[in-house]
Amino acid sequence: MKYFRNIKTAFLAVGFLSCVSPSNANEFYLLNLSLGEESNVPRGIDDFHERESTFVRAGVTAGKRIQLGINDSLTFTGNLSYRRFDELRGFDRIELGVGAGYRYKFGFGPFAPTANASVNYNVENGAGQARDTEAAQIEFSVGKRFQSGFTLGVGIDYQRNATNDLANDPAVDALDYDPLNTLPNELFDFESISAFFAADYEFASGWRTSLNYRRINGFTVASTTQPSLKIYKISDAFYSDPAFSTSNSAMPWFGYLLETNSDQWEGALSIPLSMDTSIDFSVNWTDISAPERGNYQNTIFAITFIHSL
Amino acid sequence: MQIRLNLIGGFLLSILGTYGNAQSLSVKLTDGEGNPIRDAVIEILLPDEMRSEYQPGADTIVDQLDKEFVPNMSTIVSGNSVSFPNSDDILHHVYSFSPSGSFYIPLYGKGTSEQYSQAFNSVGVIEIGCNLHDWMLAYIYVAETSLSGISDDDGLAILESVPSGTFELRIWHSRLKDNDIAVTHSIEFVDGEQTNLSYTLELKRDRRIRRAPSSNRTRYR
Repeated sequence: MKYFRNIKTAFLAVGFLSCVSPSNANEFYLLNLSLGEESNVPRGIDDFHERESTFVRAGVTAGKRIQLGINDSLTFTGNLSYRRFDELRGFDRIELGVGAGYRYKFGFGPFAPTANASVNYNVENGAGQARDTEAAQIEFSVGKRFQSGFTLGVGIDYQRNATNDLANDPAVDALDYDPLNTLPNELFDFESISAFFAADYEFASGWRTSLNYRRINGFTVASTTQPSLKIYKISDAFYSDPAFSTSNSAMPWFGYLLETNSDQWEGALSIPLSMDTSIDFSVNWTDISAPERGNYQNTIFAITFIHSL
Repeated sequence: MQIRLNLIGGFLLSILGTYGNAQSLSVKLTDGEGNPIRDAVIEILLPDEMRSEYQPGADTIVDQLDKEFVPNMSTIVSGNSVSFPNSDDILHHVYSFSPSGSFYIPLYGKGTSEQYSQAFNSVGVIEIGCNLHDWMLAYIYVAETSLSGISDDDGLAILESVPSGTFELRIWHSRLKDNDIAVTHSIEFVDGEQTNLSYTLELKRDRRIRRAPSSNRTRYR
């Protein structure tokens, strides 16, 4: 099902990036470079299917902030990033996105509470069409910084993933599970909602620790080398996983879409290296629960270098 | 609040019943580890009948450059004004909640800010912020007279033209244990003598709003 026109998004993002000039300080650039490891890239259900990989990610975000009034502002952003996995090159992907955020500050000063609303639209392209996706996200949040050094925030969001219509997959047809009731081919065609909580503590030294929790009700795309009728019957989409077809895998891998609930925790330590540069150390742990399938875990360790121009 | 007073060579005490010729005062300020303290304010508190001789002072400027206030510590004499030009290419929104001078200047950009000045008629400390850039912070110390100064990178603050006599010396820093309260000492200034003082101040750690960026991951899959 095609909900979005990714080519338009791509042109829009590229156009935005190219028209932003660093000579005007109303506009900003943010560069980031990450080195990390992900424990379960294909979201395998068991040890056999879990595949870990180190990765590098480079990204640039360009933005323009427009002050609408004393208390509110509008920020437009465009971002481009590339993630490369060392051991699982099929999961390499390039992301292009645009976003807009509205921020309202209830009063003056750094301790005034804020309310934020944002919309983001990203296009991700990888090894094959089955893993290409477009995601639209809308988020609402409120936050408050306290004099003790704490900042707290809560919010909710809605995310809609869509992908291009795919031709029938001969490998899936060959399984011949249920010819009269075939599943959709589009793995990345689903929606999610999440609620999140974020707490930061900033030390007098400028170091910042943060803890984030997010509860996601939505879907997960997992992969397996052992397709079965049982998996097929509980899935919402089924297709050959192109991430493995490019990596000389001895066995065919199939991707399947499951309705899941996820608990995602992230802890981070951010150390400022200068006024405009930081290095962040983070660990992100996700427990994905599929009611009729079991639990999937994934852990991401990352070191990220961030520089603001 | 703890403060240790060290008197060093050249500081002579004498009792004078009348006010004499002008002297100079040099104050060296260090922290507990001996590091120089910059941006501390010293002020000689004169009796009412003498203040008019040391007024008015001069207006001053606090610029906004590269999303910082420059300088971030200033002194003026009560009744004088501070102008807040904007040398950045972006909008700023200067404000203060301080009891001695609460004000705000609406959003303004480069080249449009020449007229934005604020008079401060009450002595005290004005904490200045920018509502758009939370890390921006500056202090304006509104003094009773022009006999005030700010310590430099070497922790040295120098006042010229101090009359001889016995006066209160007030020392203030934004990170004193309670930054609403300044430290005062009674000092005698001797006719024709330079007064050199040295103080150790106990300061709180600098807790500024962080400016450096950090990664912010909002999407998930």
